[in-house]
Amino acid sequence: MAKLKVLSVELIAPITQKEQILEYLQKKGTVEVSAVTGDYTSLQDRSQDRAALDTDASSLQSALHALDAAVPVKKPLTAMLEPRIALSEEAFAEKAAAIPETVALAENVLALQREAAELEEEIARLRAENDTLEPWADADFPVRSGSTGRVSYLLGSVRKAVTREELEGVLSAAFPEIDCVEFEIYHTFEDQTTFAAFCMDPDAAEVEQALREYGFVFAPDCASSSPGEKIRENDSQIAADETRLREIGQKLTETAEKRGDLQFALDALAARRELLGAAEKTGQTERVFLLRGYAAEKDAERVKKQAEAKFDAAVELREPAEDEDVPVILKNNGFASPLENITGMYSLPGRADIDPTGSMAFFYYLFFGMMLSDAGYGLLIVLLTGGALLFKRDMERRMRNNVKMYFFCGLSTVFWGAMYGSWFGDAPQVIMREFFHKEIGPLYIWTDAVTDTMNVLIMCFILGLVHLFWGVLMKGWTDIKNGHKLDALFDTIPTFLTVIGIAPIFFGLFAQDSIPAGYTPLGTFFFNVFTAVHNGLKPVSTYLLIAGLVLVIATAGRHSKSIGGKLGGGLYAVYGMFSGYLGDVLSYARLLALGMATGVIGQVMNMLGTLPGNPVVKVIMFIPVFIAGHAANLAINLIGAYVHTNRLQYVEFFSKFYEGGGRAFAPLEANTKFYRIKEEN
Amino acid sequence: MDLGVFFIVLGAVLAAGLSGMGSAKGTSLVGQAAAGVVSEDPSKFGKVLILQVLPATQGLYGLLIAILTLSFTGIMGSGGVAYTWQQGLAFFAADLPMAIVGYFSAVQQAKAAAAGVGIVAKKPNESGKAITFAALVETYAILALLVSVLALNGLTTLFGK
Repeated sequence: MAKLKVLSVELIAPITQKEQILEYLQKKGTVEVSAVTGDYTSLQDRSQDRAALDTDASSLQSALHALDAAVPVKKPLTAMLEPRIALSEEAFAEKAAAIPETVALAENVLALQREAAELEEEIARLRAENDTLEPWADADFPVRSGSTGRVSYLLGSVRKAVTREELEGVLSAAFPEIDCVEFEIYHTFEDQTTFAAFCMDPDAAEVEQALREYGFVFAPDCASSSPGEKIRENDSQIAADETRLREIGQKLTETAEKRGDLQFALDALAARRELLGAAEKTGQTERVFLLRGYAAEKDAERVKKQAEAKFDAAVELREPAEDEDVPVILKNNGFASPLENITGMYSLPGRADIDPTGSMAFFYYLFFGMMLSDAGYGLLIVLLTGGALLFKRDMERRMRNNVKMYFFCGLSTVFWGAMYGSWFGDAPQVIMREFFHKEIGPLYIWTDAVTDTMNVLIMCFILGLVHLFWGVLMKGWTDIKNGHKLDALFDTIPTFLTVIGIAPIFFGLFAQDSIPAGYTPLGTFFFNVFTAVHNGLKPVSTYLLIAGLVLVIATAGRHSKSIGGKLGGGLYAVYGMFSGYLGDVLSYARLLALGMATGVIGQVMNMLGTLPGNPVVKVIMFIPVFIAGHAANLAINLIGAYVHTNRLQYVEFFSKFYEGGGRAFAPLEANTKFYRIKEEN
Repeated sequence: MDLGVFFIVLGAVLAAGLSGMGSAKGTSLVGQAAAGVVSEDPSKFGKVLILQVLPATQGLYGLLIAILTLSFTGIMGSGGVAYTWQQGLAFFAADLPMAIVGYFSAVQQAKAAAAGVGIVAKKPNESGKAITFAALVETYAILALLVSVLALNGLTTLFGK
């Protein structure tokens, strides 16, 4: 439970060794490089190099997307547990030499992808054209109207179903004098009739006029060939395009085997980009360059030793000055370290803060389990995460920490589930009753949260009070760490006295006089302890309260200059204490509420599954309802437990002592996705 | 059957119904904001999903109260129950905190969560804070749940069923 001691690092070396030294530091990944400010001839500008890298990287990225779309990879469910592929330094360098070819390959993939898109577009266009030409497929005229020299023809349609006789009727009604007209009908649809009209050349204008008045439109133009020919032409073009598309698909499939190369190149470019970013932060003169940064004490010393031995470098380590923006590195034991992410999500410890991760670990797991509170769910989580921890030992650190966190949360969930007697809701009882016709009683070790609400609620409040007091103690500890020993006393003792003084009144509202007969031994024990403490405190609580209040009024305003300010500060603190602690303690009721929600909804799922009367149907129905119902219940309550455990830590616990505002340590390292260089000493 | 049972069922229906309506409205509201973020960056799905699920809990609390009401009063399960209309109204009143606060807190929490989606879009590392903002609103749903549970418990003891 600690913040690691961070030293300021200054490295001076000849410019000629700059790249090598940066590469060395990147490989170690333990030094954060900060920008050098001051009188140096130049801060290097490498933005053009970076832009070139970005262009290549974006080609690679797009090519990978294209390959994924063309040849999807089926990722197993456990893919997220897979670590990056480790390469030795030599293998890395060897692969790195091939990067230009890989970039060319990526550009080739993109060209193929563009071509494929164009081909698909063309195919779609030709198909659409064929669809519109289809009704005239039998007509063997190249254009929609024309003349053979003596006979004219008009190719087109009207938007209704008509017969030849009707068309002839239309024409003779309009121009009775024209007698030599012939119609050829190709297709009659419900709402369209396609046909050609033939007439003598001199009559063409009149025929067209009469037909147009009747709603005639010309057929689509297909240039030099007749509709039928055009359709055949289009079809052969489509076939050719499709062949080419298949070729492209084949090529992409072949390239997809080199996906690893693309991923490697992408990683290598990303690493290179970080290196350039660091290079830009160094200061340089004509001959030497200066690198400033931070590293954890141990790492800093190792880097100093190695860098001075390997290169012509001088490394100086010193304690950072008071006003420096020093990054924070957390270091915790295996039980607490998974929760560093949780601390980080709130805010990393600031200058005056202690690392809260260790102090919250126990309560974090405890509360999580209490809110999920089903032993069956807990067991499931423990098995899954425990299996992952056992069989996938090479997980990345971050992933491993997440898995570990859920492992501990799962253990706590099993514990609370057993206390409440909830195993997939009331599944053991339901299965025994419905399928084996045997009644088994409740399985709880402590009590049933649904019917024994009051006692569980009191337990929640007590745990909450302990959690809050623990936070106040942390405040005292922070004071001591910062050398304010008196503050440590004033910040803790008055609060304890006041809150313990008022507690019996508060708990008196909820406490029950007696417990039901046949209560569990553990429940009876809790009840007796609670009653003893409660009754023991009652007589002295008034004195504790008065002493506490006097101390609060006397000390809480101590940082104020004037007497009035001191008194006002003290009184305000009393008000804050009552309203604050009351709200804080009540907030722990969520431990009961969320726990009860899991259990009751689990029971509803079991009930739904056993609704049918017929025993065979019941079994068939029960299994899928059980699986789907409990999966949904677990998913939603898992999120609820996670969110509300965080909230209890952030809002109730951290507010007692924790400021935050620290900056995360961001070392120069190869921030890669797929590959990493194997560590060698 | 006296009006008592009717009032009890009405209370249970309102608790589950109103809270469920609030949660449906709330998750939809956050979901729309979340979809906008995911359309830009699908990798943020997990983070915004948590925000979307936050206002879903009120519906569950409502369901919880409905089931507790029906089972405590013996309407679900044992059967053969009789309540006077006064007793029924008392149970009805016990369900009201969950029904009313469940609805409004879900909608209001959704607004905080939808704003939190904006945080995730711009600063994915600060999603913890976005979650906390929204989680604060839920406190009042939890308090209402608690009041309803306590009242139901008390009434069940009081009427000796």
